[in-house]
Amino acid sequence: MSAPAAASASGTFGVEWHDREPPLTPAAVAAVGSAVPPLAARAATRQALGARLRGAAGKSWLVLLGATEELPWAPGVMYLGIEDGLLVPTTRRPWPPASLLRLVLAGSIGDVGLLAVLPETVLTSPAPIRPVAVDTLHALAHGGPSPAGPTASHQAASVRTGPPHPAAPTGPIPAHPAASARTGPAAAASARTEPAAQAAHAWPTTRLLGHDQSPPPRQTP
Amino acid sequence: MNEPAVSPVTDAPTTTGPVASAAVTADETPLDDAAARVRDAVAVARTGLVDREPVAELTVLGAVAGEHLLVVGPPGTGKSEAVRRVAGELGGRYFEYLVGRFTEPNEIFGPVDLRRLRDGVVEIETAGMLPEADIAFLDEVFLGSSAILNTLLGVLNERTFRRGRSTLRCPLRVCVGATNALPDDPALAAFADRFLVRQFVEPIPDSRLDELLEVGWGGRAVAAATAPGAGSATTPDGTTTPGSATTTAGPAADRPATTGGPAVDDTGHGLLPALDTLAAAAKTCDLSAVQPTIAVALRRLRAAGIVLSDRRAVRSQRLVAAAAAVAARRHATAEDLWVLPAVIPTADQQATAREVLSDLLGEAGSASLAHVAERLAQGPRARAERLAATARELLTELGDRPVAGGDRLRIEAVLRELDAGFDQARLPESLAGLRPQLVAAVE
Repeated sequence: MSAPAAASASGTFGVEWHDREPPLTPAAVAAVGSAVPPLAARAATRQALGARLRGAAGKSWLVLLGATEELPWAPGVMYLGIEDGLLVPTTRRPWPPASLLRLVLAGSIGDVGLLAVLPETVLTSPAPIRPVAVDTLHALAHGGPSPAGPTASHQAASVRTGPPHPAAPTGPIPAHPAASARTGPAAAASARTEPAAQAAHAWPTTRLLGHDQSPPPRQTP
Repeated sequence: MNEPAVSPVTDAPTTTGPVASAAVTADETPLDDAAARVRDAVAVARTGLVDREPVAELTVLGAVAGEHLLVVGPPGTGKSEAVRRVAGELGGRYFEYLVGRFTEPNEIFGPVDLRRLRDGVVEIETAGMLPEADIAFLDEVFLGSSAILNTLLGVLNERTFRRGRSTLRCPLRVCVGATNALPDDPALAAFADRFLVRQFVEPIPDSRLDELLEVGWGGRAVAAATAPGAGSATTPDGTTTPGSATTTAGPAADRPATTGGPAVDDTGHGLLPALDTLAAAAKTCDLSAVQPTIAVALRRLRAAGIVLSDRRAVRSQRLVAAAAAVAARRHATAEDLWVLPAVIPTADQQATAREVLSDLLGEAGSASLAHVAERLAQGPRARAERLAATARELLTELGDRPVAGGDRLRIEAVLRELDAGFDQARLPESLAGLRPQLVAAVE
């Protein structure tokens, strides 16, 4: 493992992406920027048909988790599979390996539930536990970010300074209230662990891994 | 079936089996034509099969290679239906039997000819029985008595039926045996080794349950009408009553769907001449380019603890040659090596073999037998070929009709698999033209 050691000595390293064969089994689908509204719209249709998708959203990004056959398709989305606790693109293999990346990222941003490493961005959020409400997906489909969508570096700036988008939830997407009512006290306890204010974030991969010398903000409990 | 009724593609005699037809000399044009006909027949046969396409495709591969197929899996998983559909499309005489512990040889090979018995001669009346079948399916094959299995051994190995004074050359192209589990008994294991090709089936995965329900309901009438055994011992849902035999001839689609019993096509043997053309090409296939790779594969398998008998090792080349012939080639290439895991005897070892051989199978794939090639090779090329076949069939089926509801979900499922399996910037050529069509269909 000479590459990570060398990188560690210099204090910085980036992520290289290599082709993965065979690809990972899709466990999630991610959309960034203009791909968010169509993905949310298709997810709403799936959810209405009985799918049980869970999700997390930030400003101009959306990640939905679920059974492979229930994951929606929309233009511009990226499918993610699970490798050593990280969500990574199904067709790419990161270097340093996912197990090491997870340790590094945990050191940078703390222990988060959802950790998706995309080629340009790292998406983090408390773990989404309950199925996404159809109404919430409709809101994302109609009131999401502008089609142009911010770039990854813009997203990072907004993480530090910008207020959350008024129409888009940040963090785990809340389930429909009726679902909470059905699941009783356990769901209520779960809901307390998923406040919308516990923000989801999109970090530029390079910054989290040391290229940007300013320390990333740690999540507060 | 879209093909016209029987029209032999070569001068191959239509009344002989693989041995005689091996002498046929065919030039490239008949080989292309035969490969196209068989490919189309396979495509029709697997339509409506859910997750059992590999069984149908391996049946065809086995028929071209002259090797037999053993399908291992729990009951009620559509094993017989897949074989029945292939037999229906290829034509010829089909024999199917559910073997039991008390099955007697005459139920499979035919009864004693009583007229000859009066003269003191024991001869078997084989008309309509296994010795005269072109394609056979024997369910629960290992439950047969030693008398059955010994006679069957001759039929499988030598294509010769011997019983009493009866000796008959069998036209059998392929025998598909089915069993719930591989036998532990060494004697039965030796018999099982005669089935070179192994396919392990599991209940339908979650991801294809929707399709199963849709096809199982919507396609039920079609399946009942086109099954070779329609109106005989085969029920509409594909089950066969114990101890029942089904023997038919002729391509299913050439028969009126309303016939009440097994129709007999006396005019020819469906696509069997095309099949024989491919079998003849396979027998003379040039394997020189891939034999070193096959040797490397066998050594790697041995190093991984998977030791094939010498017989299986040698005969694996027949499957490689058959894969080349199905692809209308007279020389084998790395593309044809997807068959290698099929000769591994157990499911666990097949899985290990796929890992051990993954780099050797990266370029392997088949446009004609796309489903089983993907299942066995699991490489990018095989995956692309199968996805392309699925996409083409779906687009053809949908035609110009508006896409909504279930159709939209089916297209999205293909797009999901495509985008999750390939980097969009480097789509294989076979998929590059199809993806925009799929996207346009749902937009």
